[in-house]
Amino acid sequence: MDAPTDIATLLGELDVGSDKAAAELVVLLYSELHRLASGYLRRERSDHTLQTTALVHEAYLRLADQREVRWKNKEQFLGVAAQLMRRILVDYSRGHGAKKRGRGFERVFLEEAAEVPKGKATDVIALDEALTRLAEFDPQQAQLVELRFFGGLGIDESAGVLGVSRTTLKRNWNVAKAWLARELRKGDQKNA
Amino acid sequence: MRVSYAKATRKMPEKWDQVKELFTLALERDPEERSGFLRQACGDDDSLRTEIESLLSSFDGTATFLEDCAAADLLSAQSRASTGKRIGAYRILRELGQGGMAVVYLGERADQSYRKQVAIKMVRAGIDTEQVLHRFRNERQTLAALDHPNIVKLLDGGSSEDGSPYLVMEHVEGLPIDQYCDLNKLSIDGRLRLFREVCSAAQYAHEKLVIHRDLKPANILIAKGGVPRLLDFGIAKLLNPECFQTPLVTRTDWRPMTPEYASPEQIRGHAVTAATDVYSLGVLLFELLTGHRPFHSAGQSLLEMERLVCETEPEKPSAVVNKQEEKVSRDGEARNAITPRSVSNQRGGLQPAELQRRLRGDLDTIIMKALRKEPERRYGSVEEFSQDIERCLTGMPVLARKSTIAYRSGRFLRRHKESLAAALVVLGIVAGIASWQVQRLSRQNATGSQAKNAQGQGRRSVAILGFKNLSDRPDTKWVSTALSEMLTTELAAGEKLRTVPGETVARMKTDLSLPDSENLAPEALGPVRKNLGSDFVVVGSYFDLGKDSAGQLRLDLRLQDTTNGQTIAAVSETSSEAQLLDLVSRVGRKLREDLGVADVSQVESVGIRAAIPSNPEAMRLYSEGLAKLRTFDALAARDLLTSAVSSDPAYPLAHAELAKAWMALGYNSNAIQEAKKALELSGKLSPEDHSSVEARYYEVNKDWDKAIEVYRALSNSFPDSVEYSLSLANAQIAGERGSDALKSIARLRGLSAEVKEDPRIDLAEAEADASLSDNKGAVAAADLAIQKAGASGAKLLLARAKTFQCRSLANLGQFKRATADGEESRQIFHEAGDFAGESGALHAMAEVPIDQGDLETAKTLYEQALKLARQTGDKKATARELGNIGVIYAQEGDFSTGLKFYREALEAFRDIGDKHGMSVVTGNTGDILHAEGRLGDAFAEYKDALVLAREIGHRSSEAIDIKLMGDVLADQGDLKGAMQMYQQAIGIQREIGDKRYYADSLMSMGRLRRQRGDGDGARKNYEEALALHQQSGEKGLSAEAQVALGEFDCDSGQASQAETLARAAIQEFRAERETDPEIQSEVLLSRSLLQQGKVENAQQAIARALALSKKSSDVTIRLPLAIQSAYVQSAAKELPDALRLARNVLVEAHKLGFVRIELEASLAIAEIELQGTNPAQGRKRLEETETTARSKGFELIARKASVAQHVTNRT
Repeated sequence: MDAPTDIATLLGELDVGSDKAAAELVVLLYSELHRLASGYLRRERSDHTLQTTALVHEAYLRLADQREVRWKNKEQFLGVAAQLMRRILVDYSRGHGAKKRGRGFERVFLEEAAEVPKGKATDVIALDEALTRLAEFDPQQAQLVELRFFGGLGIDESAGVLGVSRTTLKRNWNVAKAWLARELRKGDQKNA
Repeated sequence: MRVSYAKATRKMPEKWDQVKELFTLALERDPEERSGFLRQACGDDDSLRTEIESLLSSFDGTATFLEDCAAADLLSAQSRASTGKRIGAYRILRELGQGGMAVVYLGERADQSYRKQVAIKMVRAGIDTEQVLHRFRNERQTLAALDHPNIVKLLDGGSSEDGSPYLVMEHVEGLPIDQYCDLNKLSIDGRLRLFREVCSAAQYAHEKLVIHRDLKPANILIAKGGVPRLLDFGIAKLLNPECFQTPLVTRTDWRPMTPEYASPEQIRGHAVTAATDVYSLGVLLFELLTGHRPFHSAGQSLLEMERLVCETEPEKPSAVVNKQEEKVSRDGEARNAITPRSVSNQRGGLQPAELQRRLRGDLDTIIMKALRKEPERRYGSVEEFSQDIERCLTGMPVLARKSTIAYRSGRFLRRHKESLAAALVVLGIVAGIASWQVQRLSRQNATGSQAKNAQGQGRRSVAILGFKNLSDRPDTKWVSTALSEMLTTELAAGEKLRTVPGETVARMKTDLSLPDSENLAPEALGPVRKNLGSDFVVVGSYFDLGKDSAGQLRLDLRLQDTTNGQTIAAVSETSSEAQLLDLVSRVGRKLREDLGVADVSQVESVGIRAAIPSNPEAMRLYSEGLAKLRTFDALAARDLLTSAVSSDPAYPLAHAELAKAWMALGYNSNAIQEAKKALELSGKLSPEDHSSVEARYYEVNKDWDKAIEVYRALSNSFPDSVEYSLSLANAQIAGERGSDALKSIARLRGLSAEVKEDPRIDLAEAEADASLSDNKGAVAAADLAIQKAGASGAKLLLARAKTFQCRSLANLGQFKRATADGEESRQIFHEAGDFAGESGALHAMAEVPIDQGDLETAKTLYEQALKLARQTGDKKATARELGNIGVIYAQEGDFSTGLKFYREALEAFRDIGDKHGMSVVTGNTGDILHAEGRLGDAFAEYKDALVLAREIGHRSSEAIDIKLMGDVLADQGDLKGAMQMYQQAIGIQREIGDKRYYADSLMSMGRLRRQRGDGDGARKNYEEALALHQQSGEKGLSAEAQVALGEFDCDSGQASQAETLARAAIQEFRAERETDPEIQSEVLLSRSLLQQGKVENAQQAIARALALSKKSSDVTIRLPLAIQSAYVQSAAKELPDALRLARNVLVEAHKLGFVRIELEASLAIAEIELQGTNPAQGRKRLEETETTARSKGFELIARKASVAQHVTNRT
């Protein structure tokens, strides 16, 4: 299939709510992002700090420029990309965890949210599950987390994607963090 | 997966909107107010309040929660897997990275005794055998000994609980060198300087016998302050020792080496040496300067990569920067376009053209030398590599620069250059020793100050300028020389004063046309001081009544300060010729007193006595001989010194001077004999004199290593003596250690500011450059020498420099200037009466017409040089010029005269025992015999030449002779034998890196393969030879290779392509006036035209070739021409003529034993017969020819015969 026209069309259809178009677009973006992300995650790059936002933007530039896609709006793309990144990273995390176990390492669990110091890692899988629960009653909050945490977007960019003000977004972010932190702690206690 | 969150679903916790609202409001208040606020806001809804309070409490401490994006989080999670784990005395903080062989962690010492963070490299499972672990421990100790600011230090190591080894290193944060340079837009110079720092680290490690083996940008980090730090020294070997014992291609795991940085020997699994790092550094520099890599592994199979690295010449850096390329990032994912603009802009904001210009020339050459396939042909060390870069940075000539000598392709001229070169080195050395002058190193006030000790620099120096003979009797002239020599020896004793050697003084007097005089005016002293660098001079007069008055003699002398002409001391003494020594002692004592120098000791006076003949007669003969030698009359000097030696056989210096005379006359073995006697007798001389005599002996013996050793010791003991340092440099040049010579010269220059004005140093540098084939550098240095020698009036040195320059300029193709310099030098030598020098100048001048194809002029010059050589009695020069004249006759096609000269030359070389000369002339004789078709005789000559070359260990000649024997065998039809010869020759040429003749052997091998029907092999050989010739700018030889390729095209029916090649070659050869190759090109042209049916044009080509062939008697040219001529006639339907011609060739070829030509003639006859009245006979002959050709391995001819049969069968 001819990628450029397809992506453009798909995006247009996405705009009017076509599920099929969305699904196909996802497949396309997914493969692109996956390729980029795995490069990072295999840490074969010399820069040690990984910035998902750079990754997502890179994917955007690639798809937008190189395939001459005229995006209806960039926010739309970023939203989709963040969602895809979430999936990629969760998948990666699953696979990686399994691999690590196979090599005799313990699986890493998320620590008490209240005690998460800088640099300590989040259990991506648990977070993903919690996020799914959150989305059930507050999809916008869930998407916000997705945009920022998985998509690596900044506050302003996220506000743009969600169509809310910066203040609202910050408020929502705090709530979501609090809720998720509590959810994760709960899960941890259960596991322990 | 869902795509959008379009509609909210039900499962919302109760009052979620309210929870959010109140949570946000509470959060905006101070913590202590929150609970009051909530109580108020929620009223009695306890569950709502509890929910919000719970969220608030979980919000505390989430400052960083989710703030790092998920991917970064994941990475840190991975590394935390081992976080806190201990390895030996270290605690792991986090993972830094993973490679194929190892995982690297950031760690710190668990006991906190070492606060700095470290990198811990943990080996992965799989290599923990006992043997490997043992090796690991040994190597680790070696690495730990590396202590260099640019090398990341190995701190510790050991084995973890599970037995896998680990290493602990400093943790360095920084960017890989390539990224650092690009990010900072470093200029080319900046990059070169940074690179040199990297080199210094590598050199240091090499000195500790540690080779890195995996140098690449990722292993060279630039830390804070722009300091490069090299990681993982020797780790590659440590981590995977077996990696280096099997070729890369046969291995499945080749991770530790980055194939793009791996050297050919690494890829092939050969021994890894320091040269391996030189190669990888070359790749690194290539990339730093151009933004591209020499070879790309992307998309290549390992085998392809091997072929690329091991067999393909990379493009030159200056060419590569013009290219556009998509560079694949290290992870193989991202692609960046590299364009000429982006690359040049990153290099200090240059324009593409500027960058290209900056790289072209020296930097190209330097990098290509580092990237040579053969380790031994790269830079000898990283240091040499780095120094060449430094030279490039400072605008000095670069060592790697290859000569662009345009070798002639004429068969007879081929060896000519080589014999020239060998002769000239010797010439240079002899001349160099003969005309040194002394340069003052530092001046002190004339009066008062104490002389420094011998080791100190800047002893005061004295030159004895000689004494005026007032008696006007020629038979007492020698007294001046004798007194000067003796007084020089006297004052030198004790090493408190530096005396200028008498030889140097004599040279200066010639240069300045300075007569003996009693007193010198300050104006006259100026140039003397400048040329000799002496603080004081001794002048004066003597009156000798001669033998009839028992040699009664009166001497008046004065010591003058050269700065102001002031007379410091005046002495008058009377004595007899027999008591000269006593006289000199008295004078010496007086002068020492006036100079405030201690008198000679008992031991020293023994040395003085040993340096003076025991009887007056010997003294007279010795002094007269010396004077003759210094006025270039080596023949008279030889006779006088021979008498001196028989008068006092125990006097070492007479033997030493006689050795010089023999040398000047070209009699090496006699010179060696005398030098040896001098050495044997020199025990009583002062240590300095003894060493000088010893060094001379080694020089005469061409034992350069030992000569270098002695001169090095002398120049260390007497650092203020420019002579010893120059002698050292000259010995180094002669001993093929040009780069060492340059080092000696550089050190000499560093001695003092005044030394910089000494033209001899520039000339020595020029000679060193030339010995390293750096013609441009040589010309620049010689220019300086000419300028300085001209300014100070040093005529003979000027002449020498101009002779040298003539040669260098001719090599660079600057014929006009070369001739001018040659002529000037000839004239100066002539006026000074230095006929040996004049002969040398003529010899150099002859180069120019040779390069222009003007053989007549060259012959005239050689004849003049010969005449002078005979006049001075220089047998070596005589032999050389005889040989050169022979070459010219041979090249002109006058074989019998050529042979006559060769015979004479051979005799002359034999007389003086010069085996190298004999070998060259014998080989040249073989060339003529070969061309005359006397195959057996030629083979015998080549074999004799080979034996001689082997006796003297001249590898290059050896290979040439073997190859030529192969050529004879090939002509005789022994293809197998020929092939073996070629392989042998090629083996030697590869080993010694003789590109020029290697290409020659390739051509021969290609011809043979073509005959055998191995088209692909032949083409490969031709193409490689062509590439080599083109690379070195040898147009004639390139054209020859093109003609060979054209024959090939004809074989495969691509006639028009062959035509194009032939026409281009004809142009080239015509311009160069090279007859034989021009004939061959016309023959090819005719063949290609005939194939295209253009009979008339083919006839014209043959007519031109026939006209040219009147000048050529070379059978190997003439017979093939006749065959082609027959084909053309047959095409023009002149069948009887064609048949007759072809038959004549057949008969002659058969008689001479040229099997291939005989077969070709037979094929031609058959093909002509087919067209005529007797086609049946033609068919029969074709069958016979095919059978015979095939049985002898001439597959090409067999095939042609077979094709011809099929064609006729069909018609």
